[in-house]
Amino acid sequence: MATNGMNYSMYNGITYPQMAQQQQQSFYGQGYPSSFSQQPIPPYNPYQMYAPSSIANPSQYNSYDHIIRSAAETLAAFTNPNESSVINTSQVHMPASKSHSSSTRRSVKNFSGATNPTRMYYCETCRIACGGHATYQAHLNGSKHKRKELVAQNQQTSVNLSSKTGVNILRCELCDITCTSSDAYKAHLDGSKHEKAMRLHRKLGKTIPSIEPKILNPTSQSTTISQSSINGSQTLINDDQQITLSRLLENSNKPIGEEYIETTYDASNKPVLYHCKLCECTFNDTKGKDMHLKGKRHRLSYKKKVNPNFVVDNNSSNTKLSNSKPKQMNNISSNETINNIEYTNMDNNYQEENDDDTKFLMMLHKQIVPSPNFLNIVEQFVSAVESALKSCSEQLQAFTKSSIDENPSTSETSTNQSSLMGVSRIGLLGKSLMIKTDRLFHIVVICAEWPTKNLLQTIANILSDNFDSNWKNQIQIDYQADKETIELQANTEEGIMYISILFTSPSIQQEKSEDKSEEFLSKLNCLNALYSIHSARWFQNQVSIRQHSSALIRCLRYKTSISMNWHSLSSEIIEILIEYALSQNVSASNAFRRVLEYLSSGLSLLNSPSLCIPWQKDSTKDIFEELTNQQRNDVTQEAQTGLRLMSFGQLTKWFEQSTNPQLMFSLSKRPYSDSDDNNSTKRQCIEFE
Amino acid sequence: MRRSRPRFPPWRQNRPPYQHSYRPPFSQHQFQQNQSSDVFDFLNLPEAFPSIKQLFDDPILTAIIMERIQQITPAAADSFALMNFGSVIRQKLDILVLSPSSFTACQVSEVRDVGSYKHNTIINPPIGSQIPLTSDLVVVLKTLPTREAIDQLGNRLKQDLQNEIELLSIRSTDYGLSLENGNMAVHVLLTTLPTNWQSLDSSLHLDRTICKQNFYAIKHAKWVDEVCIHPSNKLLVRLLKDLRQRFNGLEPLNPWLINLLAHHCVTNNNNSTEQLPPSYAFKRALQLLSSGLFLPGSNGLYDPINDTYTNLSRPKPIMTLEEQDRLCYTSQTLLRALAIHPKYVLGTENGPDIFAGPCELNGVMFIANEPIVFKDQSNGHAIDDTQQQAMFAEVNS
Repeated sequence: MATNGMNYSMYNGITYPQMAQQQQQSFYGQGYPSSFSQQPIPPYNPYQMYAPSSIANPSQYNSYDHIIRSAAETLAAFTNPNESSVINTSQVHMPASKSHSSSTRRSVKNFSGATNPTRMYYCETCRIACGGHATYQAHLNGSKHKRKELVAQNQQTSVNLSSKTGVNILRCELCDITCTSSDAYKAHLDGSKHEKAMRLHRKLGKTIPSIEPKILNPTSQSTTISQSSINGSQTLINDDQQITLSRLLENSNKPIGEEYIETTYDASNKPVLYHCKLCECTFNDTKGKDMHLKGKRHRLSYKKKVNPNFVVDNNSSNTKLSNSKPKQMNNISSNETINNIEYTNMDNNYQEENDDDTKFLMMLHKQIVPSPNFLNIVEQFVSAVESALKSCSEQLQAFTKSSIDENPSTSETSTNQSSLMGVSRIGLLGKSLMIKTDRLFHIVVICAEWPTKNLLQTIANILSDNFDSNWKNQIQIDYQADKETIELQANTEEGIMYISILFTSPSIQQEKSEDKSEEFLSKLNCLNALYSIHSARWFQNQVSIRQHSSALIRCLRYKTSISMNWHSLSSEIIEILIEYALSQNVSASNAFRRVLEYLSSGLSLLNSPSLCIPWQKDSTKDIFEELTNQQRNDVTQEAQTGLRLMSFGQLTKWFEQSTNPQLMFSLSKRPYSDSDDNNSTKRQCIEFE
Repeated sequence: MRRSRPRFPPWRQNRPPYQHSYRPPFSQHQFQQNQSSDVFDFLNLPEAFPSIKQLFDDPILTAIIMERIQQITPAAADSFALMNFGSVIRQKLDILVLSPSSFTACQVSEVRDVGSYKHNTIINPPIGSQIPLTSDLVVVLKTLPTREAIDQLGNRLKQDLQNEIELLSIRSTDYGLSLENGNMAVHVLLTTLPTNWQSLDSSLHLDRTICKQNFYAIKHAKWVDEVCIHPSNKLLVRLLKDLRQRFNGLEPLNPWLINLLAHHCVTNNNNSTEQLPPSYAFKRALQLLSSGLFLPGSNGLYDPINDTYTNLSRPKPIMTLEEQDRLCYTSQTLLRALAIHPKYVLGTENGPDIFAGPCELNGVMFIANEPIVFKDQSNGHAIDDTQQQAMFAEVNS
């Protein structure tokens, strides 16, 4: 998922390239045609068709299939708007040009009509069409026309005047209108006046000057002014315009001093009001706020109140002053502007990671995110296991074909169908939420029928033969009868990794009976495996698309790994809480604080209204169900401390707190210089930032 | 749709939009927060937070609350005696209003009842303590409240009361006068007209902030009288006062904040007009405090008298950082204890002192939350400094 990749890159360059690609590549059994069609082409191609000869009976798994299909649909629903939103943003500047192209078609029709006997009278100076000769004459004699004519004669001088002041003027050649800012120019292009003029010109067959603004500022005249004819390659031109226009918009002032904007939230935490403290004015929407931040008034007051060295560029009174002064001064001012550009750049960086908490969380995330090498090894390991399982499946198939009676459990399944339908990555692998300390990963094998213990035993026995030679020596296979899993252990460069293979089957959901018999796996384990598949799917569809979600979850997971009190907090709970927090459209640090607030207000305590699990709409299972009373208490306490530390700007301490109280005690007993050291390294990190 | 003119006074409307529109800058505060928002509240986010259980009424907790309320409400005889005592003093003060020429030291403008006795939220003082039941009166002077004038007023009252009731002691305090009669007391809070506030000098007169406070007490009393009428509200105020009496950490929660909080918890029910039952409202009050209602970064409660949020009140923040932290960690600890051992938190059953150290509460290892901000550093400006100081404090402790 592309969106996932973007998510990580928000924080640093370290992405999970392979993980991101393969996340969805979980089901490749034939029983799941719809999900299959959604998937990108997996990197290991021959592996695609798992049990080629097997013909799964699709109707048998209807309900499960349905779930996956709907998941795939929601996936589509989530990705599409996202992609198109990217396009949309680039199209924002387009509506005018769009309407052009549509009206071009119309004008082609009308063009022949323009040569009709019903002649148009057109005044070149005023760009006005008159219905008849009489009105045309009347117009020519009118005061308006005369004034315009006068202006047209003096136009040259006026241009000079405007260029003198150094104002960046955009001029629409067609309508003879000058705008002082790109925004105003854009508004003009969208407006009805421009549209009308456009239509008229087309009707008359006049040459239409480019929409590309004529920039009257001598410094930026390098932008080419392309002349275009009406019928020509309109679309091409549109593209051109779009690019240059958007470039122009980008080039216009960078918003500055965003930290002086106060945002008021309503009860549901949507921003309702922005207040600029510098200029003492309020806005109701983001657009107005952004416009204001770019505006001259704001920049001037920024200069006045915040940074006296800040140069309000181009259209400020500053340049006027420097113009009137000798050339030396000019040099100085140009130097100043260079410094200033650097400053604004720095300032922009600063805005991105506005407050200390966000900065700290990003820093922490950078530290806990696993290295690419680590990810690579995990990926190799997991795919080795997956391909081994695949060949296991082939072997099993051949096995059952040749000797039906030998193995009673597999013979129960139809003979020409593989008993293994696919492998799915769940948990950290499926959600790509790994942090450096993780060593244990889970995958699920989906079987056609309710898996038996016999099957597990067989797979465990033949699995090692199916690994390719590189891995064979490194991997230890261990069948855990009581947990009903197969545990793999591998020695890698990054230390020992574990993979636990769970078994389940979609058919279990339909089964009414609790546990079949001794020879089958317990229903609870199988359901739990299915449950985690749903959870991974829900995460991919709902959570991973949100900005910062993965990073925040990793930070909180890191906390669970270092703090005893939070040890019992599962990744699923964190994901759900983060999802709720981010669904309120808040910034990263606010979402983090929100999660702490949820927990501090006793969400996990016994007497609270608890939360249901979002991927199981009908069930009434509580997300905190598995926690004991003591654990609930500890979780709440830790979150409460975290909330207060965060409120008082000491979030760093929360992540420093060591795992066990004794260790903490010994730490605090150390001489002060030591903790001072700690502090100074931290500060160095911040400076490094 | 925004109405051009509110039909009700602002506090009757469950925070209508126009109150949201004004938010003063947060510049006075040490922690410059760019944005602050309301803290998380279950009731305000019903659709975003699909909870399973609807815990509006908790029968177990309700029973405990009712039991506790019985214990803390003063006996009828006591409150009757207090009423008598108060009304006699009031009469004497009224005479001074009616015939100002009879007393020259100061001129009384008006006398008003305020405080918990007036609102019928008075609770018994803790058992075994010497604190009497008190009722409060605010006396607004036309003249400036000099120390001498206050003493004169005290003497005059003493003379007048000599024959009627047995008055044990009368003494001037930093807020005015305190008249005691055995097991009950009347506090006379002195203030002056707002036009005189500018000319107050703390060496000669009552402190200006105290004068303001006493004057605002009238406004607060009016508001409480008009708005906080629901029995559930009064009950919650009593419970919170009781809680504050028993746990020192809740001290920063002054009576006015208790009233605001109680009103918010009972009435501000996701824009529905239904009032919440006390069991839920009590829990909600603790939840709000625990999720940092008064911590930096949160708006706090809407204060209808100042027309701003409590955490953003400009002239002076209502609490120091240390107090904010103390209030928060105490209520967080209490919230956790409430889930485990409600009877202990409400005071109907004795238990180990949870703030003394780790203890076992109904089979759960319970550790009270630790303070983060300490008294000596609450005025520190730079965060780095506070961190270092916190480390110092940890090492020293």
